[in-house]
Amino acid sequence: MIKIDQALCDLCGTCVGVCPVDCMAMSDKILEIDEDTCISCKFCIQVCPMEALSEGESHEA
Amino acid sequence: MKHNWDMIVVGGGPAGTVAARYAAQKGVSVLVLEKDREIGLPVRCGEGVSIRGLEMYTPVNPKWICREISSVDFYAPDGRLVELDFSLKGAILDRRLFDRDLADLAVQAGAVVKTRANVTGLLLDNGIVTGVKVQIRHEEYVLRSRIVIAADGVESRIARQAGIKTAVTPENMDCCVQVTAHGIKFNPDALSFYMKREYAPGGYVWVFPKSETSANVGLGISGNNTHLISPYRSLMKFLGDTFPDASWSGLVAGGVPTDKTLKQITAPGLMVAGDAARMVNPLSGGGIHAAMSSGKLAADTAVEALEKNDISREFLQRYANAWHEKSGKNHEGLFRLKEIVNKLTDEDLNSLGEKMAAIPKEKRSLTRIFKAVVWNKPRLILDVARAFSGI
Repeated sequence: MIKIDQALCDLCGTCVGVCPVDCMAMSDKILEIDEDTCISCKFCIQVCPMEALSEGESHEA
Repeated sequence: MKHNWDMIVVGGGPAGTVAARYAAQKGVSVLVLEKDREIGLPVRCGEGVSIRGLEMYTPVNPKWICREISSVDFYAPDGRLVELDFSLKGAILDRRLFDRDLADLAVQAGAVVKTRANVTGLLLDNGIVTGVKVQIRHEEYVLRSRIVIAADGVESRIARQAGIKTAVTPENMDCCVQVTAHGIKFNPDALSFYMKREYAPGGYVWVFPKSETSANVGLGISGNNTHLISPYRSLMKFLGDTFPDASWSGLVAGGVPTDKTLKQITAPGLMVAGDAARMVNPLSGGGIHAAMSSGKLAADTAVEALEKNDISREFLQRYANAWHEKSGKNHEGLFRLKEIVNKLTDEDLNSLGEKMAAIPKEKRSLTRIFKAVVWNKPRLILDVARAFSGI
């Protein structure tokens, strides 16, 4: 599961541009990840310029 | 609001508003949908452009120009300064004013612009794009149009619904952070680049003057190298090391796709333009010129397609072909050059700086730089040959 730190997120969309399964949605106010579609490839974590994304514990685990 | 349009443009940046203006001038009914609250903000851009490039697509308002540029300064990793004469008329823009005026010009030509309009999806009818779904305040609207232009930037999603693969691999995404810095010592007439790998592995640091006393200071790191240092942390380190007295009035993040143009930029009823189509110059990371150029080309094809009542992918390929001839082909060569430049180590760059500094300033050209690169690293001859044979 990918965690978003909304306090650090700049809504720049870099993560959305690399997501291979199109599971990220961004408006002018918030970034959201659809956990059901996410494949945990972590590309989004890799490209975030602001360290706003990280890997979190899954709720099901 | 009207529910039926000839053309809907998703995204109110330079690609979208230039496309809207050229189409509206030909009598096409155009709606531009922008998700942010104001056209031109936030500015996620180093703001460096060639004035000649702008002039091809718009009359230039002097108010857009923060600084004119007469030289390009490269700082080698060891700190050596290598100045290049800059024959192109360069400038640092005020993107907020620039984008807003481009939108105004589109409106004057007859287009309608809506802000705070978040497009959530495409309407598809048997694989043909027939409009968009858009959220404005709490309402979701279903808007029909004969052609949709996806100019929705680096975060482009809507083209994916028409089956176009827009995702960039992290390797070809430059992850950027920029501040507007004050109280720094810099050359206010130059684009300055710092090439040290420690700060920007697979990218560079830029200092682009906004006034005599302030500058956009930013850096980009290839997504494959962010495990070495994060862009935010790296910029803070660069500022601390290089401009310890700096203060800044703004900090923004952004992604620059330094890739080749998407293989597919059209679908029935849809054309993709600008950053969304990955049309950024892969070597420099500059995207404004390509955005405007592709916006114009997309509008030209849209006007023809509407006249002939043919929005098939075959017809819209005219746009893809025109882009490829104009810039796409060239970008393939620049992409290979980017890969070569990214292979250079700090030692290579230092030795290159030394060689360049020995050449009189007026004779320092890109050709000379590449000759020096190849001299330094014979194994790169093959790469360079490959890159140039592609241009």
